[in-house]
Amino acid sequence: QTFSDSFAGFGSDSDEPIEIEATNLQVRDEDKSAIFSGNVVVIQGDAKLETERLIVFYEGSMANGTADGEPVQQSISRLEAKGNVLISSRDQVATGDDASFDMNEQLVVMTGERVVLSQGPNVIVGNRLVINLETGRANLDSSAPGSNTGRVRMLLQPNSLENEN
Amino acid sequence: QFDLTSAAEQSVDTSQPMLLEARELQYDFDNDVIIASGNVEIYFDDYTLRADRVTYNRADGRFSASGNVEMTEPDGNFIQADNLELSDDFAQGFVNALEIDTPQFTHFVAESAERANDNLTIFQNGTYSVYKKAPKPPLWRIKSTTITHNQQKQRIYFEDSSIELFGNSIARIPYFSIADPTVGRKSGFLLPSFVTQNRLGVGVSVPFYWTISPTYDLTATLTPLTRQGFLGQLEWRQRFDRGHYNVSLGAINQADPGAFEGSSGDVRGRFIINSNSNFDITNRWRTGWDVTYATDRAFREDYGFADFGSAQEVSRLFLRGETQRNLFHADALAFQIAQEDNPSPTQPMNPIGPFTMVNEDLQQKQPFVHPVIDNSIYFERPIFGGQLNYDGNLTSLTRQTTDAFFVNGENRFRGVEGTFSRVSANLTWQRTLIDPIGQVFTPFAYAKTNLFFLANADDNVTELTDDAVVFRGMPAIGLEYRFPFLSTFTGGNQVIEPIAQLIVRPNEAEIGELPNEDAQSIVFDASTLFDWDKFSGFDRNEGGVRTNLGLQYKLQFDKGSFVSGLFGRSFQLAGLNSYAVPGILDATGDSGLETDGSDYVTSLYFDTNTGFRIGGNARFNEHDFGVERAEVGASGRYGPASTVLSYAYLAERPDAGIDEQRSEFVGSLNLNLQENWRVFGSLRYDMINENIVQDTVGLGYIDEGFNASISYSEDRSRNNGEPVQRVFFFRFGLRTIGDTTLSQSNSSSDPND
Amino acid sequence: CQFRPLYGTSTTLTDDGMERTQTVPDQMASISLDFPSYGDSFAITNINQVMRNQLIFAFTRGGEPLPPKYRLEILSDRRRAEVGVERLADVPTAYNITVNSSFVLSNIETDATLLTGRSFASASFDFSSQRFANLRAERDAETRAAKVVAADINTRIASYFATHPEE
Repeated sequence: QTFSDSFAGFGSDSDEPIEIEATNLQVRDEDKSAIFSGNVVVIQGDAKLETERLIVFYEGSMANGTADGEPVQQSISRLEAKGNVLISSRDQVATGDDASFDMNEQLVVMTGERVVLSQGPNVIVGNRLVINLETGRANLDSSAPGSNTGRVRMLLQPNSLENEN
Repeated sequence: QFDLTSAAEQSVDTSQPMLLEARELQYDFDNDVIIASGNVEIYFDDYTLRADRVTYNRADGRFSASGNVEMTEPDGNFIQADNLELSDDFAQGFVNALEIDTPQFTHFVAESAERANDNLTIFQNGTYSVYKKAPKPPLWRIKSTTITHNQQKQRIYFEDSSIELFGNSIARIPYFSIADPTVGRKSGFLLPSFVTQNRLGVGVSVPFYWTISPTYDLTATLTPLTRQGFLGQLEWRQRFDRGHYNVSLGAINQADPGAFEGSSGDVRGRFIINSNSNFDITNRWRTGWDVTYATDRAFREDYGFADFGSAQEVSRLFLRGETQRNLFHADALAFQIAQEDNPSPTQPMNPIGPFTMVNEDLQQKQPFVHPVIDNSIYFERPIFGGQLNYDGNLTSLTRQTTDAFFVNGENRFRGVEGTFSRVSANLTWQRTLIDPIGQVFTPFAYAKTNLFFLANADDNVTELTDDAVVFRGMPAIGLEYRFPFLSTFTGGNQVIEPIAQLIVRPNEAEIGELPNEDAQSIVFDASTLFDWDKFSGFDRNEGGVRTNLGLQYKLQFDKGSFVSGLFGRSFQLAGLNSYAVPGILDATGDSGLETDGSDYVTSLYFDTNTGFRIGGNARFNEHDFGVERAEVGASGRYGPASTVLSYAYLAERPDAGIDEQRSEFVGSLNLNLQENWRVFGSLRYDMINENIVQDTVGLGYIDEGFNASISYSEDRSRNNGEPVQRVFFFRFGLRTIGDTTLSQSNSSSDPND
Repeated sequence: CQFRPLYGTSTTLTDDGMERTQTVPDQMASISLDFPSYGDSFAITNINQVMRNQLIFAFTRGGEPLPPKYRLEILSDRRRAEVGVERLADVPTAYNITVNSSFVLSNIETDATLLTGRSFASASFDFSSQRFANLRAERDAETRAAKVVAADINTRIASYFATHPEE
């Protein structure tokens, strides 16, 4: 199960329940956003997201959907995590300053001073990580605004060369 | 190694991590392909790979790099290519439009190259040259349709190739192979050299180098000569972990011996053998030998273009022990001289009486020295506040024929037939005291003791004492006084130093009644002025009360240039002047020390530290200040030219058998013309007889991959029935292809080097 | 330019007013000698040993050496030239030996180079038909040339210390 599948977990088509914990939640129905803050942890299946602040944008109204505890994500259009974001699923972990999940575009964009993507022993370091959940392609570059002409660095461990796929 | 995988045997250590750096990196999880772009750098085991774009498909383990690809291999090969495909353990690969530069600076360019099964690398339409990307076409290169490098056999095979000189093809060779340049000692023919010498004819010497085992090898050289036939040479070298030995042979069956008529070379069969060795017994003691034997004395000079190991006049067996300060040297010596006998009955210096003439039986007059031992010890602890050192010598030799000559109405002897031995032991104590105002006092004392054992086998030599054993001692006390003054100026300083020595000794006993084997040369100059005993050996001990006075001046600049000069004179104050009384040899008669007030001696050394330097010694007659002896040497570098000049004047020394003065100029010049060419020449001009004694002129070319030198020399100094010996010599070398430069280093000090 | 004794004791006042006599000979006695050797020939080994012994005596004046503060490295080379070769003479009249040396004086603690320089001297010996006498005369000429170079280096180092008193 590659990196991209695990991220799909946050996508709208997975049927796993999503639990979101945070110290406090502020719902602002007028602009259809819910703001979780204070070491927010989002867990779905074996994927996990940790951040300091998470803003969830959704279509439809939060009000009508929560009466019977229907899963909220059905109508999530975008997630925005701010402040040392960590996404992990099984042996893959990505950390950065902030990240945004665009469910319609199926794109995850993580930016930060040091965005680190590790899969088992392999580690990639850059400034901007774009994962296309559809094509399963992760694109890491160093052209994030404000960062100098940094370099993307990747350390591939040998044993990972013969991995299963 | 020059091929793609470096040493294929140890293919890439895939247990190592791979570090990849790029401006952008795409990681396709699903089919596990990594695409890196933006001056990608990959560090893997000892490889580095740079390219604009690298695609690494981890599924099928293929690397493909494109866009000015540069790869450096563990052993230093530097590969440039347009694009490159490699297996992920770098064992298989296909490169096209590549250039490889190897650590040996050999350079491969090929349209494409393929590496198969770790061992073979096949280049299509490649060129092999030893020039890095020289702007103009390299002097020479080899172009061929396929170049195959076989890793196991360490050879490079060229198919259907053309040798190009200055870019145009001079030879087409269907198939040939050379040794892989990384291999130092590889058997094979070395490049020939050409020689023309008036009595030998024209010749080509073709060396073959054969590495039989890692510790011993052989060079066999055959030189067919148009006039004298085949000169054969064999050189065998064997190395052990504690030392090495060489044996060199040279032999010829001369077709035209008459060419050497009037010299000892006028024989049909001529042969020479030399062997030298050096073995470490401990880290302080070494032993070995350097012996040469030739059937005739002129062989080495007549066939001078050839190299017979370290063949020379002196043959020695040696045992040497050294610490930092002390030494023990023992040598057994024998001589085979190259000088031709040249006796003439009308020679005024022929000895009176039953002796061989001057310049007759020169070889028989040489001694066998069995042995000569030098031993010197400096005692670490100061004794009475000063330094004590012991130095001793044992000399024991046998000579077949007396070497006599006649001068000033007396027979003199450079050597007497028989066996003569001497054991000497000297003790020297000295100490320096500096008083508050800066005067330097050095009291000293020494005692020389000599025990002579004489077995004079020539009863015509009555001058020698009849006693079989003679003791002679020479105690001395003395004082050296110096008062150096310093003055500084911006950029340097100068030192003026008056020096005075007083030495009080008894007279030297039995002068002229004892043999003189190791103190025959007496050159009184600035370097001997302040020697307490100016004799050059143990066989003579300076006696009587003598004072040496001198003034030393030094001017030195901070940026390194300096001038230093000395002027002085020596006086025999009392007692017998050892230099006035003629010894058995009477070499001191014209030394300048024979009068109570000696000649004046001076020396001057000047170095600009910017490439020019001049230095010399001179001795002026005590009465008329006329030059008795002067030797001046100068060397200079200016732009492309570098030159060494020397001038020498030696007045006649009748007592020493030199009946006319000598004056000579020697110059050599090396002029670097544009880039790789240079012209060189040297000249020795005899100013008294106004003729050229020796001269050489030559042209040299050297660049990264090719060197050649042509030299023509004339030597008129040899007395072998041939007024002028003319030698023309040409050699060349293509780097990595049969290089002829076999460096031969032997550490024994070679008097005729 | 006024002259003063090279080895005169110069009393300098240290900053705390203490009088400190600091003589050149003390500096010289704390020089340690080093002759880097690269597979030298017998002749160079002998020349290095003669220079070492001459300089040890010149520096310590026959007494005990002081703990080393300076290092003096000397690298030497030797040239031999034939002199007075005439036509048909087959042999020269004399040989001339030249010893060329370059030296570097450095401070052991700071490894700073204090003084570098070159020195050379030549001595000659007369040719005798007895080749053994030539060998011995050559050895003596090498020793004489080495002694002149050693004395030159000694004086130049003394003048360095006299003009660069230790801070």
